[in-house]
Amino acid sequence: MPAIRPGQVVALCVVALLTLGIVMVTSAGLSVDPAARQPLLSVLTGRTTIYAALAILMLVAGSRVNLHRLDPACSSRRWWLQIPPWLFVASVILLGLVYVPGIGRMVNNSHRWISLGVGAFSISFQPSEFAKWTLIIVIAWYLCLAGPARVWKFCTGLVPALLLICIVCGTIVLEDLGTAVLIGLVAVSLLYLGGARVAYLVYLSPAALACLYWMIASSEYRRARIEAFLHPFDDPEGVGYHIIQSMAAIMDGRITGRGLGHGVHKYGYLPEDTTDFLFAIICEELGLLGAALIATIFLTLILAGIRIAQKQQTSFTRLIAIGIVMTVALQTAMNLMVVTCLAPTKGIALPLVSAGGSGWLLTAFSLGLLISLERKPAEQNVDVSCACEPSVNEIAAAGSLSV
Amino acid sequence: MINTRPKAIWRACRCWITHGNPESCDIEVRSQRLARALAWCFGLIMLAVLVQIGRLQMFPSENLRKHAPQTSTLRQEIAFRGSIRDRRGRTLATSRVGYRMFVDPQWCDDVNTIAADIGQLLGIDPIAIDRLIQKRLDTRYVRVLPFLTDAQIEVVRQASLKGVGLEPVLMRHRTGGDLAAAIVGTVRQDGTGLTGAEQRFEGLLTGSAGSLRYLRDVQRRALWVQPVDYSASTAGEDVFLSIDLEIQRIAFEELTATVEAVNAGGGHLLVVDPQTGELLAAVDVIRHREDFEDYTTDEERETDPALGRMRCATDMYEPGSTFKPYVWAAAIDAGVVTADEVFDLQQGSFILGRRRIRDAHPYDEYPFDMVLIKSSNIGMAQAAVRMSHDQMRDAILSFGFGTSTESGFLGEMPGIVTSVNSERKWTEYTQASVSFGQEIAVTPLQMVRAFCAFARDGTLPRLRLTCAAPGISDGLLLPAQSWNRAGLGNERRAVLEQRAIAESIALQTRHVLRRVMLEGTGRAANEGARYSMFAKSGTPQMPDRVNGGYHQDRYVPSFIAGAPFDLPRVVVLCVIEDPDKRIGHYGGSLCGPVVRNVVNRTLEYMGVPSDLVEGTGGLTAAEADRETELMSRAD
Repeated sequence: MPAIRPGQVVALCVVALLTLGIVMVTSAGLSVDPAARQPLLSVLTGRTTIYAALAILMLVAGSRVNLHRLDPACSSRRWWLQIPPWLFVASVILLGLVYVPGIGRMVNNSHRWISLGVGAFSISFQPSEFAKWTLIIVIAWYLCLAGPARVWKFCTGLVPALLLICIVCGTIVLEDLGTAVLIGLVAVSLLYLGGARVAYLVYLSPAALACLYWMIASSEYRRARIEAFLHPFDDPEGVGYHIIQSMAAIMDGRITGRGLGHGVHKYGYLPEDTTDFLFAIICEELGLLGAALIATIFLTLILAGIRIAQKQQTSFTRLIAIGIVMTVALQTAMNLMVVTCLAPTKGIALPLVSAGGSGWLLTAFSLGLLISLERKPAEQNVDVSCACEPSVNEIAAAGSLSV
Repeated sequence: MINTRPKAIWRACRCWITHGNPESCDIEVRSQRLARALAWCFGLIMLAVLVQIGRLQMFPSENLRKHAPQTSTLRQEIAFRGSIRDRRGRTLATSRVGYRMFVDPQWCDDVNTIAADIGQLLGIDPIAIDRLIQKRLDTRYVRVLPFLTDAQIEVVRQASLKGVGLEPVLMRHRTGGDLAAAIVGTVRQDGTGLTGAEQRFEGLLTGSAGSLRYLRDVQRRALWVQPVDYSASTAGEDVFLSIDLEIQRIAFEELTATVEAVNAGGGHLLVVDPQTGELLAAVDVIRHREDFEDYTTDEERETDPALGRMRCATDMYEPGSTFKPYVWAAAIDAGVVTADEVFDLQQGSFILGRRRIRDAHPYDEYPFDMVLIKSSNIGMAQAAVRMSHDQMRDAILSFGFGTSTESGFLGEMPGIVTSVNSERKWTEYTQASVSFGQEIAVTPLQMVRAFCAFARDGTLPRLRLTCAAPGISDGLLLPAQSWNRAGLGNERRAVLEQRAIAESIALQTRHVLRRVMLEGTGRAANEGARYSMFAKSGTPQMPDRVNGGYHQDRYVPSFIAGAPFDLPRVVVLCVIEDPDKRIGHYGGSLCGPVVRNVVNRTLEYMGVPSDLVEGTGGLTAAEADRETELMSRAD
């Protein structure tokens, strides 16, 4: 019997997480209103299930993409004619569109969403979700294009890369500090892997920390979140309300939970119960055992992803694999730590579980790319000298498909 | 070695950060390092998260417990309190669901105007309500009206004031009115018994409250109830009192009419079934007379008749001549005298030791049975001193004096029988005094119980305030479990028989007491009697509570009787306190007719046929025959 491959493990984990996501998002979305009954058919044909099905399709689509063709080492085209720079441009444009009236949509007092289309045919998504994944490809492409010798240098190697990161993070950080920090951490880690001199990164870290501090200190609600994290019970009805409700939901779950669908905190006590704080509802309904199950699936996913990354034979694919795994890991860790009051409250969703359209699709597609990296090394070896036709329409399609 | 270690670490870090060259930078090595670090960090974070979840679930902090939202509501299911009924099932006290109004200050739109809104809605003073609310602004429950009428409930429901709620509570109603209020008693605001049968049978009447815990959403709307969160309530059991409301009414009417007629300070009237010991009626009346300095008071009774004490059980009095039958029977039982032994009654004045004893009427000499019939103090004293002190005292104790009847009334007194060993020992003086009902204190309940010995076979019944439900054949029993819940322990048998005297002597005494009705002080009562009564009257002087001793012209007359003679169904005692002497003060002529009327009406109500022959002057058929025979002999 052949041993199970890491890519298959990743696929299984994604399907498992999406399934859990459908169940828990449906459970958390239950209503007291007798008119809003949810028969099984409506669950199966509901928005969440459709997104999950699309996410699985994206996973398959991602796994069919040949990322090696984006490797600058395989391309004979000029760098500006290659795909990654245009992905970067597209990301920046999309990030800027959130501020354009009529396109950008304000949700919870933040400009994070854009709506494209008209009326019933409009689709909304967060450009930061798109940028989060494309920046990995862009940075990896740049590092491979420049090579370790150039990246080692500050002015000609590191600064251009930092500029790319700063443009993206700087645009995002205005409205979504958490995602910006996540993207920044992953990107800097890629710089380290790409050959950047550690000394430069260390020397620049105080400036980065100062910026982070300034971003927190200059925003009242961010300060309040830090305060709520440090002293949640000082203002239980105010800034501490959210985190107290989250802890209370976890507390009520006990070891085995109240039972699937039997949670109470989702009925108005816990805000964002289907999105950022869905894990608290999982803890309440499935208890410590359910939480352990989620943690185990994520840990398995991350370890399988790392295994795939370690198998990569080119720098470009290795950097992309590490970037994808690190993004998923950091996002998961941040969400779980926020929900369990180990970190200040931050609007970060639990990948593939918290309700989300564009998030599910892009994460599944990215993990599909990770699977594709496992499936393609032999092909890459054979076809290194190929024309490397930049047939990466799939990636472009991912951007246009994202909802 | 230890001192150099930090330096070595610092050197390694500095080297790692600042040194090296592009050629030494191996992406694969770095990626291996980073992957390992990522795996470890992620694993540790997952572990930390699980530990934190476990900590929150198993050892939540006090702060978290305190501030966690209340996601469930516990609602007490009202347990209906059992009803109190009379022996025929008439309801004396029962419960119904009423509503009281409360305010949740934190739920109101404007807590400063809610009192005005309520006041305007119900037409009541808003200031008092506002005071109540302002005192407890930080709470979620302020009771503002303890009871709402049906009309008020409707108005409040229609108004739907935010923050104003109606809470269902059990309201206790004394449907029997004030007639038996002192027996039935009353309940506290929380529904627990306070006085009377409500308190006495608390364990029996009280049901077990059920509870319903339902989960609720943040807007307090009910979500669902888990099976373990519901327990049904159990209603309390009904208690059937031995009291008959109709007999109670008869007794009340007869007593109050006489008390009013003779301008008395009050009175008691007890009706007991001597065969079962069941108390059929117990009436206690206090009548205020402003021109009397010392009269009995009961301030609680002014507030609510149910709060007053039942003086038939709690207040003692000197029985006077009504006590003579017990001493008479004791003397016969002791063998120190026979019924036909003639006593020299010294023309109404007799010196015993250093004490002069007087009779109300001067007699020359009488046999011992006539001593009782004529109620001679001298004859009774002469017979009593023939008994030893212990004999006399034991005989009195055997009639149940000096011990509580345990009838069930709160605060029942045991009476006072002078102790042989106390400082004020039982002396010759005591022996003589007790023989005609002085120097002894008894309760009316003790008197009727002791008199039952003559109506039975010489045994005393256990006085009972309860009986079985109508239709149950054994009227003497309640389920053992019920008795235990009522706090009556193992005393399951309702009748506790205690022998007072021999059966033959009881019957002999009953015969003599019958003659009291025909030849003695009961003649006034015998006129108009429809049943053969055996009785004894008493006209003791009233103790002077201010100066000590006795009032010279104030009395506590009483009359005790049983009927019908052959199979007594009732024993009735009437005591009238301090009647106007100018109108009447003798037990026979004042209390006798009251007892007669009560006996007549009660036995008729009970369906007992009259045993007296019309036109014979109140004689039974046997007595009429004997009379005829004596007349013919005399002729």
